[in-house]
Amino acid sequence: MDTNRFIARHVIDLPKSGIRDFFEVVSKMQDVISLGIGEPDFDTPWHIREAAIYALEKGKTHYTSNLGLIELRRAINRYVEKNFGISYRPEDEILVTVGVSEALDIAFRALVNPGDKVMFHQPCYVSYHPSITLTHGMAVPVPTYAKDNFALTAGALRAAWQPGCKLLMLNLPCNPTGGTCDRKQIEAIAKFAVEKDLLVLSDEIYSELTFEGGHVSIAGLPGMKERTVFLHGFSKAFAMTGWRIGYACGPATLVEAMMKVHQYSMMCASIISQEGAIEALVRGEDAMKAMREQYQRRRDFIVRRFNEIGLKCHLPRGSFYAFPDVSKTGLNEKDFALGLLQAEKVAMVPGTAFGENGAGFCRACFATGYDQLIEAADRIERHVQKLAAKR
Amino acid sequence: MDFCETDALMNPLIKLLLEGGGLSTAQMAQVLNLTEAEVNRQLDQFKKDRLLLGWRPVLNLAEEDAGVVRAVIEVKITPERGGGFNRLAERISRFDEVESCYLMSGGYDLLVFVNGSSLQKVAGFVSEKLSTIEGVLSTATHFLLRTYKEQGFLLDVKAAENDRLKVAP
Repeated sequence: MDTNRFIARHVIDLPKSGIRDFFEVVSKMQDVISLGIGEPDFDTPWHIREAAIYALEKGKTHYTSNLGLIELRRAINRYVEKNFGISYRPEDEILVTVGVSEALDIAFRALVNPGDKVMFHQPCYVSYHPSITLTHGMAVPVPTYAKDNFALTAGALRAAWQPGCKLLMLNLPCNPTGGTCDRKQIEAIAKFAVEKDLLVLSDEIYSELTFEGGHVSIAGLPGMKERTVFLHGFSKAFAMTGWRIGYACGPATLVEAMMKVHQYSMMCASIISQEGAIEALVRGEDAMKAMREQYQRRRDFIVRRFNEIGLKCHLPRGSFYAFPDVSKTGLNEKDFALGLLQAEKVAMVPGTAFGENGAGFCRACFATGYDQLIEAADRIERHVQKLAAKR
Repeated sequence: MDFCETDALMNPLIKLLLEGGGLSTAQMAQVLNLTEAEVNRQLDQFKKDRLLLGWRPVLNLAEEDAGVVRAVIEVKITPERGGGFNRLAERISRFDEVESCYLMSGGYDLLVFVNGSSLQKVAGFVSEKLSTIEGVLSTATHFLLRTYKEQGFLLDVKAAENDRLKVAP
């Protein structure tokens, strides 16, 4: 029986993730040095894991409030106020979610009518475009460029804007480019959002991993809190990817709308993860800073090596991704990544997995040990030299 | 090159060493964008400045293979005018049997970590050497039965199997 005919059209039409294609190839190979993993190489700090074990021992095995544990929402408010300068009421302006991924999904489902246009900068995290499509919205990608260190500019936004745009999705610092914006650039984006009456969804999951210049949240700018849904989580800063825990903060009406979708689909985030998250916010700062410092040293090393090798790479100001330009090799990003994998067993993700504006680039995650990074760089160098000799 | 404590901890090479990755000097040179000669020069300078005192391996030996008995001794001593506890503490520290020696707050003065090839030898050190020093008022010796964590390394916990995905978004 052809079961395809039962599948909804907009799901059938959804392209398969470029990352998944690449994963299929890599997963069949042995002894690969992978720079393709979008998560910290550190395990979650022990004190956080221990707090979750303790919570289980104490019988914390039940549903929580749909919004999440009030202790966690209070801790989120204190953390966001201290680190981002924005205060949200724990009672009705904060919603605990199953990672930022769920927060994003319910935000789109709560806010997008069929045909509404959603602007987002690209290259970007793999799920933004499909999430918009799944809610019958129309995706309006805005390119970012290597010449701007992949910062989003108000000029690019203005050029891409079209009537019917309702939402602006931001991810700064950005996966996969590591690009981010300084205060002046954020202010220009905010001004544009006000001018075009856009609601901003700001995924700031990499904000703690900003190495230079400090992170500026658009929600903290004058007049922006009321038109921004601030999305954040624990995966990257606290090395808690598998816990699937995040949160959304924003005006009470919007949080309430998202909560409606959340309560009927997810009910609540796992109580164990919520207990771990409280511990991370209250006592996790030192471990987080130690991890950030290590990422920064690794970044300096790998970016320098890419440039030495001749793969031009901007210095990513945030995240744990380098995004080198591989076009000088004469190959497109897919052929380069596949060739590198087959010849030298090093995995980097082709930039087009993150949208067509990633053409010519590959993403290299440097959240891995120095010995692996050093070896990977040497192998990439050998491969690039071989390619040059062939031409 | 003189180091105050903060300067030393800000040094990129020291930071890399403290990460404990066990990198070779060649690897450290690569990471820090220095020549290997420069890394060696800096390490020599750290030693000259007595910032870096030396290297010791942290071994994970079964108790019966280790051939070493370790004890921790609480020592009460008489402080001296002008020098406090320093002269006696240094004198005790110089014995080969003494691994570490710390001045403590609380009910005793020195905490001394001692090792020897047998229980008798450690006991002999305490009764014949340590407790007979003039100024040592009393000792309380506790023998170590089992080690769970040493210098930041867990001993009996095997590294978790690496089950991370090879590619993830």
